[in-house]
Amino acid sequence: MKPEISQEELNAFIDGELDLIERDRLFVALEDNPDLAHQLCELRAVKAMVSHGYEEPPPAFQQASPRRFSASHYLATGMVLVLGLAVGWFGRDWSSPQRSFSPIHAAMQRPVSLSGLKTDTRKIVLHIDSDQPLKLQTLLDDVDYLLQHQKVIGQPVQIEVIANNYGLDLLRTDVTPYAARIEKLARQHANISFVACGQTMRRLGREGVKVKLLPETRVAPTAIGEIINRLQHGWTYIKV
Amino acid sequence: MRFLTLLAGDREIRAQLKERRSRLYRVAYSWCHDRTLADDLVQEALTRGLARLHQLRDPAQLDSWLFKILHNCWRDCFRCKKNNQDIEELEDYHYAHEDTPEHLHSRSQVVDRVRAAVALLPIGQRQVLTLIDLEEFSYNEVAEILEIPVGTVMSRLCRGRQSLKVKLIELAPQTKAGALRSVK
Repeated sequence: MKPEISQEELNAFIDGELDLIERDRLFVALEDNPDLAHQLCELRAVKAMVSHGYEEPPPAFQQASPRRFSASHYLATGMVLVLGLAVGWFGRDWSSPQRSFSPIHAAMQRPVSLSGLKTDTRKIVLHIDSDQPLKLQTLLDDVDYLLQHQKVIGQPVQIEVIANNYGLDLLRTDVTPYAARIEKLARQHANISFVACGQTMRRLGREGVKVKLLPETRVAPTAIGEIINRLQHGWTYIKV
Repeated sequence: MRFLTLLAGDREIRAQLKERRSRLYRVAYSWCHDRTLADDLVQEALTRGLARLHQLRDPAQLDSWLFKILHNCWRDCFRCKKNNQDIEELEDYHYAHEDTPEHLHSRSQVVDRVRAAVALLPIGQRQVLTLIDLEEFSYNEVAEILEIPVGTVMSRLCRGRQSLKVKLIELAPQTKAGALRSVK
């Protein structure tokens, strides 16, 4: 009488769970039971199929590998940063509010001595009474600036330079360092005039100094009288 | 972080975990047949495992210990999802197929049939079967992982294989059956 072999035992056999004696008993039973051998074979096939079915499970949706930044990532980040900075730098004028004096600003830096000037000023008296080189320089720079300014705003500006006291040196042929510059200004621009103070000239004459003025210069009786006259006609007065 | 781990010198553990991860994923997928869920389960299991690493008494039992955690995650997942069917995710799963026709064609029909048959098994049988066939755990280990008696492991395995046999071999197309017979 051969002992019955259960399905559990067959399964345990193919899973390697039987010990020596149990295996021995199974082999004996297999010898003269082809049906049992067939069952065993089918179970083996099932086991092999299950393991084959999950050999390569479909990949997970989320990749498990952590994100790593390569050199190209850093390069790209750097380029984006540079691009952003460039856009910000070139776009700053576009985004900032319009300045009231911006056209002139673009043409030339506005001198400090003219900071009180209004944009719509058309007639300007520039007064100088000193022979300090810095002041003379400033005066002529202001004149240059105002002539530029008229080009920018598109309307002519009338300028009158009035010199008295030590400032008269600007217009004296023998002592002025700017003879050529003044001559050029007067030649190029009809709307600029140079006025010397007659009172100062008379005083210098009394002191024995021979005064010779530049040919562009007009002589007014007194500088103060001339200035007051201009102010009464709506001119703007600037003391250099 | 990488720098720190280099200092700590536990590259080996990371490699082991990575290797375990793919195995855990394979089993989790065979349980739920849902890629996203399987990945979540594995992630959760590994997180719990790392947090409770000090509770592992015998390092040689790391495998069965991890699969036990995976089983617990799977059970917890059932508990919390019982009343909460996420239809959006379900739709995503149905419509977002990443399989290309090429890929589908190259994959053997057997794989699809096996997965479909396994998916139809009761959960208890499915777990026992996959732990034994995919991970080659012994009956005792499976009993410990699933916290059931060894006898239950054996009977579930027996019933599971029986129904798979019916679906995969006896009801298989003739050509498949012939091929199997020729192997025999």
